[in-house]
Amino acid sequence: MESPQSALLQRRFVLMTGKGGVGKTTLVAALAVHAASLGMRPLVVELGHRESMRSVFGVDDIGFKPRDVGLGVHAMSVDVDVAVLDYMLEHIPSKRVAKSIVQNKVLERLFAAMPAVGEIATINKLRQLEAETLPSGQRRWGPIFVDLDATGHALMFLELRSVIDNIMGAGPMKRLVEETAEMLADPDTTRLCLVATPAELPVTETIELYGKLQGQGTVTFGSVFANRMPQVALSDEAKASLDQVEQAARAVGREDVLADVAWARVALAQQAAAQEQIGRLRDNVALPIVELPQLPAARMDAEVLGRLGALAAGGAA
Amino acid sequence: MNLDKIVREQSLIVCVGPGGVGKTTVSAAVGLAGARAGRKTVVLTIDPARRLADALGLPGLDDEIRPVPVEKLPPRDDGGTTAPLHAAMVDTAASYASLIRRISPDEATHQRILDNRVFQAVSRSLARSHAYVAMERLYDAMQNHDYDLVVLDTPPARNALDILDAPMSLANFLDSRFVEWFLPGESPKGIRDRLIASGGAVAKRMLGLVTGKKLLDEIVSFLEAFATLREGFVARATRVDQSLREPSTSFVLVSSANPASADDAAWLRHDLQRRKVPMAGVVFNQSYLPLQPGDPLARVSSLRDDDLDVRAAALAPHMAGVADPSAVLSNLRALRMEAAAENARFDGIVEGLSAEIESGSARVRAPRFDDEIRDLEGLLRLVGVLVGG
Repeated sequence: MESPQSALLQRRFVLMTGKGGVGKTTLVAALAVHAASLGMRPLVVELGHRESMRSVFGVDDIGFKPRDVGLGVHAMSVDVDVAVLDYMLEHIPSKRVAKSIVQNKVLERLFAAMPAVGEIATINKLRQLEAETLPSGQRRWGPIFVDLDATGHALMFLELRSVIDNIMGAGPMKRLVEETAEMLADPDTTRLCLVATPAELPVTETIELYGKLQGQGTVTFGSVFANRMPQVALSDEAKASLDQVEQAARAVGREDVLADVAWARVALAQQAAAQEQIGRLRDNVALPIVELPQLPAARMDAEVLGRLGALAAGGAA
Repeated sequence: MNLDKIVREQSLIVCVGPGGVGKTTVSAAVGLAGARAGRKTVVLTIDPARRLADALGLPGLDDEIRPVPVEKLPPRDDGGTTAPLHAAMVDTAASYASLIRRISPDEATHQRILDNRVFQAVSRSLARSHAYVAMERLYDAMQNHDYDLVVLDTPPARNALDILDAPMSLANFLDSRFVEWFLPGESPKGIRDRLIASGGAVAKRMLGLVTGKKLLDEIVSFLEAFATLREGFVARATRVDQSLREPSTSFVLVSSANPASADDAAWLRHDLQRRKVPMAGVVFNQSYLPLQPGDPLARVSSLRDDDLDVRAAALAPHMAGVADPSAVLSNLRALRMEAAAENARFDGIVEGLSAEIESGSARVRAPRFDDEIRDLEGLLRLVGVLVGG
C-alpha cells in the first residue's frame, strides 16, 4: 500500500485544521472515503458537539463510539464530558467514586471551566483509539483523521505540553501529556494539514498558524489544501476575445452577449483574486500546496467524495 | 417582522451563524442600517478582518469603540439624518484582562489572579472564552453608553450553546457550593455541611491522584482568588443573560447557500429553538451570483442558448480578429449558463433551510457581490439589499 501517491494516508494521525467554513469537514470525509477505497480502515474523529459528519454521510447519530457511516468509513465524536468520565473511570481505582466525581454537578463545572482537563481526556481517547488492535494483531484504525474545529483549538491541543508544564507535577496526567506530545511531534506518526479557501481571512489565519507552530517541534506539517479554487471553463481564445466580443455586441445591440462578457470578466477577476491569495500562501508558507477545485453547490455523493479525496491525497505530504 | 422593522425597533440584534458566510460584514451592514434609520448604533465584532475596518472607513479596528465616518456617505433619499455609528472589535485577551480588573475589589486580588497559572491556562483556552468575552463587551456597551441599538457579531458556532451559556458558565463555576468544596473555611457544622465537606475531601484526594498535587493546589488558589470576585461576576452575568432574553432582543441567523453552511445553520436554528429563543430573521448571504449587469439584484436561475446561429451571424462581422466567433460566443454563454445552474442549486439549498424557519421571521437573500465590500459605500449596497431602499 506504500506509495508516494498516498504518503499522507500512511500516517497514524492526520490532523486537519482551518478557519470555519473552508470545507474542512468535507475534505476530511473525502480523504477518509479515498483511504477506505484503498483498503485502509479510516476513522474520523470530530471534537466537540459538532457531529457534522452526520450530514456528510447522512447518518442520524454519531457518538463516543466509532460507528460505520458507510463507504468503509467509521466516525465518532469526542464530547469532552464523556471523555472526562472515560478518563476518570480509567484512572480512579473505585468506579463508584469515579462516577460520583464526574456526575457531580459541582465538579462538572470545574471541568467545563478548566480547559486542560477536557483536552487531556481527549488526547487520552485518541491514544486509546490509536492502540486498538484487531484479533489479527493489526491496528484497528488507520489513518485516524482528527477534525480540529478552529485554528485556536488546534493551538491549544498542540501546546498542551507547555500549558500544563508549569502547573502539573509528576503524575499519570503529566505522563500522558508527555507521551502524546511525542506521538504528535513524530513526523512518521502524525501530520497536521491546513485547509484554507483562497480568500483574505482564511489565508491570513493559515499563515499565522504556520508561523506560530513552525519550529516549535510540537508537530510536523503535512500539506496545505487550497480548497474551492474557482474554475473558469473558458478557452484561451474566448479569454483573449472579450474586448472584441463586447464591442461587437454593442455594435449590434445584443444585451445578452454583453451580459455573457460581463460575467466572464467577473469570473476571471475572481479567479485572479484567488490566485493572488494562493500567491500569499506560497510566499509565506513553505509547505506543498494542494489546490482543489470549487465544486457545484450540491450535496456530495460517494463518487464525488472519492474523487475529491483522491485528488487531495495525490501530491499531499 | 421584516429586517427593516427589526433594525428600527429592537435594541439588541445578535447575529449568529457558521463561519465563512460573511457574518461580520452582515453585522456591520445591519449596524449601518440602524444608523441610517436614525438610531445611535454600535457594532461589536469579533473578526479581525482588515477589510472590515476598510468597509467601515476606519484606519483600524480594535478594542476601543470608534466613530465610523458615516457623514461621508451620500445623504438619504428621504432627507433623514444618519445617526452616529460606532464600532469596535472585541479583543479577547484585552477584554478578559479588563474584566478582571473591573471586578477585582483591590489591586492585590487583581495581581494574585493574574499571576495564577490556572487562570493563565483558562485565559488561553480561546475557544471557550471568545463567546464569554463578547458577552462582557456587550454588557459594557449596553450599560455605559446611550445606544439605541447594539449589534453583536458572534464567534462562528455550530450550536447556540456557547453564546447563550457563556454569561452564566463562569458565574456557575464560582457557585458557592463549589467554593465550599475546595476551600478550607470554618469547620463544618451540621450533618449536611459535614457531608459536603467530606465529599469535597474525597473528591479532592481523587482529583489529586489524577492531576497531581501541584495542579490541584493551583486550582484551589485560583478559586480562593476568584471567590472574592464572585458577586460582581454573577451580577454582570445575570444582566447579560437577561438582556439576551428580552423581547427587544432579536437573533438573526446568517447563512450562505453553501450546503455545509446551510446544514450548520439549520443545526444552530434547531438549537436556539430548543432553548426557546426565537429566530427573528435569516440572511442568506452570498446566496446567488448576479448575472444581469444592469440589475445586480436580479436572480437568474436558468438560461438557454437557443439562437447561437443568429447571434454568431450578427456578431461575426464585428469580430474580425477572432478565428471561431461561434465557438467563442457559445463558450461565453455556456459559462453564464453554468452560473445560472449554480444559482438554481443555491435556490434549492435556500428553500430547504427556509422551510425550517418560523413562518413569521424575516428572510433576506443577498447576492455575491462582484468584488468584496471595501468601503462604506460598498457596505451601503448591502444595507440596501438587507432592509430595502
